[in-house]
Amino acid sequence: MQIKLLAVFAFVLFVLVGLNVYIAYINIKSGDKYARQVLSQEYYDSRTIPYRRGEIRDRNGNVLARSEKVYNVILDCYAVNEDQENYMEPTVRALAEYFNLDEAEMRSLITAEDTKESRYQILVQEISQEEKDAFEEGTDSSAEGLSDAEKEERSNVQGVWFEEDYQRIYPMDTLASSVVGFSNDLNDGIAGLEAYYSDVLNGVNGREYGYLNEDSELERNIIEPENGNNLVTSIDMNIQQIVEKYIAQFDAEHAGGPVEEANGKGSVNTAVIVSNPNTGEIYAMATNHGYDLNDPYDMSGSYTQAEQDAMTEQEKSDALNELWNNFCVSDSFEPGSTFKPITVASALETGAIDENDTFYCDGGEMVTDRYIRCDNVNGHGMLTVKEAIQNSCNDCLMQISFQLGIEQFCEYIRLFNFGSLTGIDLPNENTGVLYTRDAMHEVELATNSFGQTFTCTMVQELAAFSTVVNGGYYYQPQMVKQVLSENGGVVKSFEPVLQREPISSKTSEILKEALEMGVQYGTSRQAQVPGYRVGGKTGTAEKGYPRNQTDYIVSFIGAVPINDPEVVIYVVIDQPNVENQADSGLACVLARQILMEVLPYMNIPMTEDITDEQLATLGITREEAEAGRITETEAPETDEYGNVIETETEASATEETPSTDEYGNVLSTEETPSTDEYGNVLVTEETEDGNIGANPDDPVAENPNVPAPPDENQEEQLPADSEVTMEDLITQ
Amino acid sequence: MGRKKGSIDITLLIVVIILVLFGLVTLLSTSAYNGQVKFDDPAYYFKKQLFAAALGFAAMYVISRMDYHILERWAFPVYLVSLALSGLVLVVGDSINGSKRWLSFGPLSFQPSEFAKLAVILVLARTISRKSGKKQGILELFRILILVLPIVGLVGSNNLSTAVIILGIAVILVFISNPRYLPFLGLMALGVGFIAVFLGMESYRLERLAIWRDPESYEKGFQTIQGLYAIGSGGLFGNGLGESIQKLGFVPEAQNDMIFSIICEELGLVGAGILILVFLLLIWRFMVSAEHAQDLFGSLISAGVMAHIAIQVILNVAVVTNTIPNTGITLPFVSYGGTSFLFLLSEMGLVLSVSRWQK
Repeated sequence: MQIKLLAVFAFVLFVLVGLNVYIAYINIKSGDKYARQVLSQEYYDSRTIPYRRGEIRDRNGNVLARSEKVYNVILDCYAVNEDQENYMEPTVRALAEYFNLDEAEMRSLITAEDTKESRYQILVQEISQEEKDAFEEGTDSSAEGLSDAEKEERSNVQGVWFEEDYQRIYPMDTLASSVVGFSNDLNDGIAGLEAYYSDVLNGVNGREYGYLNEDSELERNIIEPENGNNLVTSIDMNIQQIVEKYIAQFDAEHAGGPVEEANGKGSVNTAVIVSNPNTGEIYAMATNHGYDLNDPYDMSGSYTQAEQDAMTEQEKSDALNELWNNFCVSDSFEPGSTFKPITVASALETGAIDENDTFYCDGGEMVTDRYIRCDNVNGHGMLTVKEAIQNSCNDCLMQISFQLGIEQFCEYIRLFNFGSLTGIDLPNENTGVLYTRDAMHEVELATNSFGQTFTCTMVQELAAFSTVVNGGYYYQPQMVKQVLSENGGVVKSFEPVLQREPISSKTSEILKEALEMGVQYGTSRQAQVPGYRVGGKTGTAEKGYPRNQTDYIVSFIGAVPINDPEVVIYVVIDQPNVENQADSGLACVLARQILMEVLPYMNIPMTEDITDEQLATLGITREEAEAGRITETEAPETDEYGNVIETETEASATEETPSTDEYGNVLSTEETPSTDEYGNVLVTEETEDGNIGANPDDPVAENPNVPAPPDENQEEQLPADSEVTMEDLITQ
Repeated sequence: MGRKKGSIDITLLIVVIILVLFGLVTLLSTSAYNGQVKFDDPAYYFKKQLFAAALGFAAMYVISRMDYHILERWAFPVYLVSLALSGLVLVVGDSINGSKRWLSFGPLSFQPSEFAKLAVILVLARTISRKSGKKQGILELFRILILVLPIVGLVGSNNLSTAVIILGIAVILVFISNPRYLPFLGLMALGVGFIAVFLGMESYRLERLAIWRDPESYEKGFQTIQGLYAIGSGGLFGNGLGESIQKLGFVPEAQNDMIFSIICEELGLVGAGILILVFLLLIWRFMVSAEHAQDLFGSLISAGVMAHIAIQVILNVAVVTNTIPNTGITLPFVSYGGTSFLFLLSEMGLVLSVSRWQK
């Protein structure tokens, strides 16, 4: 038995030593080859399956951004080199034929020392499914009707495979570009919603890898990718289109103006927001600085090729950031008179003034050591509180603000969220700059009261104004309504966020009356929309410092129907490209043009009669005014992928016999609405040339002596309680 | 025969401890990537193995302290329990990767086939030692082998590799206890014939042969070829502990059967040689224990354990080096597997117990 035990042990010893020798043999014989193999096969076993980034849709489900499956063409040089003589030429020929690749380059790729063992060489990126199918069909050796030679040729195409990837597509190109933004190839959002909600839109990559089953055979296992969530924005694509149409029209009409900074556009900046005052939802947000989301690096809209070539990298980067900038949330400016309702609402709310108080305007006010003038240098005379708003009287506002006092003014301007982020779900929001409590004296209070010498963004003013007209509820402005899963399940719903209630509904009622008076009889008459009750306020703000009395930002903010507002519109035109920039009528007209189309689209009924006098004031015909009543803009038809099939509503302008109205403006004479092939009523295009004279009732106060708004950088560096003296702020 | 108590085999104990420590370290290195990918915890496999090791050491200690002779009485009941469990697993077992091999007890799972190896060693040691001195003809030889056929059949129905190991243990035990040589030549011839028929019965087994001869041409040769890449890229001293590339998903389930290839890659020819040397030391101590055992029962226990370890080490290394066709056999003390670890250490306890009663 001992002998047998020993025999077994000897056998084991012999076998194990033998195996050890064999391991050494493997190392000596193939060690180098295997070691290289290990390093070269990084892509062999497991590969990433990319997720699909979620869609961005408008409130009706129309797609603004989506990701489409594309393929990268990968060449496995190692596979080709397994039988180079037979494989290389057919493979190279097929690639050249289907993907327009250079044959010589591919040959060198296959044979070059450093790439010949590579299993992963990207040849072409982002080809479509069709191109992939064409290649696969064209190299399918089992197809019928092939000669033997063809079969041979096709079956020798080796080492070509396709890697899945996704390409971001923006079906509407430039529409809502500053809101939607874009993302890069790595699915990093760069601007707009794409940036703000980048993580929500992104999913998790899947993986394909091998594992062994019980028979030690390799099986492929796939972990499916988790696709990203979809965003449903509050944007209404149709309203957005209407807004952008009139902004473009304004640009076209004023392209030839004298303002150099406008760069051939209608203004330096034209921006419009349309929103729901009762929820904070934004229906449309547009500027005249849109860009093609499918080609966001294209600056040809703003710069010639020669100019672009001359740019340094830094300049180029600055120019692109400027292009992608969203004026509505990222730029702050002095709002001007559109702020007056806030001052008056605050004063009424605190009881500093009464609805029936009257103020005497004598054309200006001596404040501390300087004389600050009213719009009307001759004085408006005795005005009630509402009339002060109606006539946009600076003198009255100054007096009201003095009654309110610095303390309470500072409290209320912050209650209306000026000086803080609104929290709108868009990147790069600006806070604007206010005077600190300590830095504010009578002069600053006086100028602040009518919206000068502090800055805010459009969304800040919009949210504050909405509070004034909606009964006193401050809602956070919102771009996104819902986050949906890939399959349509609701992941998250964004309910309206009521942040605070700075004023009572009673105060709100008084202001609404005043705002309606302003549109009916006051400075905002050009903003009348025939058939609707509009309330609003114009603004004509001096721009820049020191004041140069030529550069202005004109604006209009209004609500319809003013008795129970459903829509708020805010139009800002930064330095209109016209001789006399201080013409808030430009903003009023733009607002009216947009509202005339948006209100019927939203099914907001007309409640008022249209008078001839009103038509004469607005310079439009009854037909134009009533066109809105029957105008319908239907959601464009989309195919199953959400592509818009037909968006032409404005291009189908029908035959017109131009006639002119009493002012010599060309009129559209649509008698009956024309319909397109689907029976949809077509929008009649406004041919209003906007050539409406400056409103003589809305002159602009020129107050060269008022302080400048606090400097943004300076403010940020200073703690809130630091002392900023007037000397710091006034340099003249 | 008087029973005198000696001290346990210290050399064997040290070798076992070295092996277990070595096994745990390489397991941690090898399984960290898979643990991270699948369970988000690089130490996932290591922790489970550590738990099994602790349990195993406790079992080893208890068994080594007890008198192995009482097991003679328990050998048949243990064998019957093992049969029952092996049968049970076919009915209610959990399947992992498609084969029913595990029985679950709450959070713990248990592989009856590992238990079967221990049971077979015990029942054969008892049967053969009882019959020693009687006529040892060819018939007797077959009668003993027939005793293990039920368990071989049950285990083999879903785990062929383990059935082969069990059969191997039985054949070696019979071979050692029987003074004759000639019948074993016949047995070998019979075995070869049986394997040929078995392979021919189902084509996928033949395919495995084809893969063995030319692994690079078959997709299913993937694991083999990746293991060879790992061995080949190790060189004399390896890439260093923890530096394997192949364990990063290329050698699938690297912590299981193919762990030896990762050892070659990380520790090189020298590291692999030392590991094999340690196994040889272990087997040598089993042999010494078998030679000096007080009685035939103890001697056969040690010989059975020796056969078990030797077969598994040889087959595992042979598979990894593609010397024989691929079959799923783990490397004792090193490959991942809690049940296996527990029963291996229990077997060590048996041999230590045997070593305490020497002639």
